[in-house]
Amino acid sequence: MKKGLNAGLALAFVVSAITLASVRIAGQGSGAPLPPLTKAPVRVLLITKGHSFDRQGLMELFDRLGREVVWTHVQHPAAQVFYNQKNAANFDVLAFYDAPGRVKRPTMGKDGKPTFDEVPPASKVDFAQMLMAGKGLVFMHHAISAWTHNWPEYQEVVGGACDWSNEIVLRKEPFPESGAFGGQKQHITVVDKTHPVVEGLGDGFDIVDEAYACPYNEKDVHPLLRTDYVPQEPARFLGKRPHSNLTAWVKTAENSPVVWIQHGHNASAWTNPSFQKLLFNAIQWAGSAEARAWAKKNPTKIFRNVKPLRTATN
Amino acid sequence: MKKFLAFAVVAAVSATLLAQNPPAAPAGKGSGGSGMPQGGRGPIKLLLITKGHGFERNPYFQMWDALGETVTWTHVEHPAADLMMTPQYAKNFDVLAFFDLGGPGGPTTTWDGKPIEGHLSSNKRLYPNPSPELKTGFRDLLRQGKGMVFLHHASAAWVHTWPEYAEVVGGACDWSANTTIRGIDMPNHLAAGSTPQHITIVNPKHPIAEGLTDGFDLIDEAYACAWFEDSVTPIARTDFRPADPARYLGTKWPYSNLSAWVKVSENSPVFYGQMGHGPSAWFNPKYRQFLTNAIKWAASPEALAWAKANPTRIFK
Repeated sequence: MKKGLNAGLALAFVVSAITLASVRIAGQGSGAPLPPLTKAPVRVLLITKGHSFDRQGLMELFDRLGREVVWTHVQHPAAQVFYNQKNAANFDVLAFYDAPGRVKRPTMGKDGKPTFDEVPPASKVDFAQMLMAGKGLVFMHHAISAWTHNWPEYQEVVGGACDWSNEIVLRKEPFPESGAFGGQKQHITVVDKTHPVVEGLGDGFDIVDEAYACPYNEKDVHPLLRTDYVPQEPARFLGKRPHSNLTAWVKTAENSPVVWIQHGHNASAWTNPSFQKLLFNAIQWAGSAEARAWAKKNPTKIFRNVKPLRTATN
Repeated sequence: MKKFLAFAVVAAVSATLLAQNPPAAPAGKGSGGSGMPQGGRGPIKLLLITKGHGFERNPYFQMWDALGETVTWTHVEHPAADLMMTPQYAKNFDVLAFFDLGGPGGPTTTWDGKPIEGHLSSNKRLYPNPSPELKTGFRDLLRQGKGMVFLHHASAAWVHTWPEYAEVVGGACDWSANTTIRGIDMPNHLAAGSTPQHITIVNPKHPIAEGLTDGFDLIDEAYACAWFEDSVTPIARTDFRPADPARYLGTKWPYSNLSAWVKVSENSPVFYGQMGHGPSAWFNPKYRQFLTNAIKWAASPEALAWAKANPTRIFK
């Protein structure tokens, strides 16, 4: 399968490159061919479902990342097939724009609170083993709300939790419904200029995008970006916890390098050159040998009862 | 004149629907109307497979959302789709719907200059071979019995490199390179865009014809491709006919005006619908009804029983 998949991905890459080349040539008014690539394109599996979005707009964003990125779309529940390290072996990075696990079941729990759809136990084990093998992960925007009600380890993988329609629990601490504030003009400040994920963003950038008020594990992530947006009543969404203005971080989850980017609600962000640069950098970094080596050197144990695969390497 | 007026009405309705076609659904809300979530909520679980041929994403996905009382649909692209075309991973879906073009022509080498194995066509494009795992996995799925719905350009998948695949679909196309179909050499086929057509239902008792027995008009891309008339049960035919069929099919393969059929492939019920290139078809209520009927049929126990009782051996 690997050979065939590789051929397919390679082909998809070249077709994308040709399309992009023709667009660029048309734009430049020149027939000059693009220079050959100096390294393999990053193969991205883009995962969605669970939160609606402008499908054309998001996919055009990924098209615009250029020939250094080859992407393939899959939705839940089929996406869970690729929680498996073997099945995901031909993808360098999993990019999450999904939000599964927020559909209320008809029956309430023993505590009288709502219950939600959940991932099958076997898929949880698959996911844990994939992270132990070191897969690069990029979580975008509402992906921080995925599986938030019944998979606390997943919250630890991402580095926080959100749900804008239901109360949540993070690290056993209860929180009200999270805040989402659409179309906010924000200035984003780069707080670690040395990191490859923010390369080319200078001191920061302006963006009009949806902002959040959600609980994040500030102390356990490496901050990259912060927003100047402050919600009017943080306690309404965060209880006693102070508002965190983080909008991007990196961390490790088991042996995997993880990026989370809060930005990216719709075309207002997707067409922002700084956001495009940020996403491109995040994918390139998460798919790099350097990021995998960093994660392996600084692993974070999350899944207590899962053994790593014997032969899997990423 | 009557026919012209009918087409004019279709064109006007299509134009109106296109004008109403929203560019994007607002976040937090579905796009299928009546609060329909993206992906639908219907009882038939459908896996929608794409990649290999471009299409307008938003209106296409919105069409599927509009069928959301019938289907709950999940999108997957190649090459991830290859893994789903197997008994193990297709088991959670009732129907596989193909709007893909597997194994499309492209450059002869990978990004770093390594040759790609496949078929070098008359237009100097390389059509890659399917992987052995895809071939065996898909064969096993068809033998197990799964409803399959092939749509429009899906009849051009793997045309040069996997002849059994064309037998599964019931025909073959390539609009940009010469082909050899069932041992007969022919030129590149025809895709005639935005063609006003009248579709005649030729099998009015079939469940797929329900509510459509008078046929319907639509403006859509028509084909002149190599259809396997002797291997399918016709459902619908178009009144489109190219001026010079031999230009696209050679002199040894007669033009077929089939535009929809059913057949059995191994133990699986298969539907192929030629219609469905763009929004003028996708927003046509009759086309949507036709597609809905086809999906319901492919997912039905009756279709699976019919296929099992009339198996067609394709993979030797």
